[in-house]
Amino acid sequence: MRKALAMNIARFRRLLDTYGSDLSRWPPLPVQAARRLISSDPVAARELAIARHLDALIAGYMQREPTGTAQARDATAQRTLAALGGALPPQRRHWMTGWLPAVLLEFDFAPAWPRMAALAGIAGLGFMVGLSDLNLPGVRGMAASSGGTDSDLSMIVFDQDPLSGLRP
Amino acid sequence: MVEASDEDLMVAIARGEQPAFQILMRRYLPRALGLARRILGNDADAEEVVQEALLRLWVHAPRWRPAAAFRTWFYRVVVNLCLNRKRRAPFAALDDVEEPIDPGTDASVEFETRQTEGMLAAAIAGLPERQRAAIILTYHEGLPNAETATVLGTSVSGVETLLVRARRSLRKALGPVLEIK
Repeated sequence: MRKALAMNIARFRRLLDTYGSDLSRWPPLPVQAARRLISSDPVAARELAIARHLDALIAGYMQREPTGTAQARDATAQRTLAALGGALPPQRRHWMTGWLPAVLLEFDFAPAWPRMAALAGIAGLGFMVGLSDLNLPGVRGMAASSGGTDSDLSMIVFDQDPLSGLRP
Repeated sequence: MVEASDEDLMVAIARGEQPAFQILMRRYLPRALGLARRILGNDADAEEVVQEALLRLWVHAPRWRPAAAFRTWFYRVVVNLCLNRKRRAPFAALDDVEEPIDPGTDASVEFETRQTEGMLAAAIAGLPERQRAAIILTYHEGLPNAETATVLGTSVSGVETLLVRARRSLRKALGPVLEIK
């Protein structure tokens, strides 16, 4: 059985920010503790009043019609209906793509193409580096400063243990 | 057919029946336009986005599977298209933010209300895209957090985090307006 966490002002504020000021939308577990806090602590009651005010402002703003007349709204709707009421494009029923889940249709890859191109470029660069040997100036410098050559560097890392024959 | 469920209409649309598409379009057009208008902040973009969403609905209907409620899926398409459009034009002027009509009659009350709503509109417009979308889906559409999570393609706790941050930002922006007198 889950145990309710102790309710304090900080947690109460967090819950108000998470679920809003309507306690009926809260999960059942913390509601009783929240009600007790509201009745005993004036700071909690004040926090609830502020949250209610904020909720009322947002809800009022969202429910009110934005500027522009109702006729303009209707005209927009009519234009959309007219635009889509005529000849509709053919539906996609291709046998090769028919198996794709509909969830893929929700994504619009268009704005992502520069990122895709960058990713492909980096992958290509990594592939090229992987095919070439590591004759890079930095690596050569390290090897030289340790008094060996390129092959010496790999020996340091991969050489067998002289006694056991094991590789590190 | 007018009273058919959204899912039944989608089955008919998948068979290429245009009357079913017309019914579903009329059913969702006002809400979709309102949602897109709130996210994008202007009518012209909202109109284009909703047309695009409805066209996708028609074109891809044969591949639609009822994994979630139709409303959730369609809102997800609309919200994704809106967010993509916002990413393409990230520097839209804040002056474009719509100001609601105030129904008040008294001049001083009207002025105060307009001022508060102007501040709120600017604060909502200044929120990061996904926080703004979460606020709009919660307050404009009245969706529960679980459905908002599906529309935004995230978890319920992800939506809760978005809402916490958004509400804190709005509270900070409105500041003294929210203080109880």
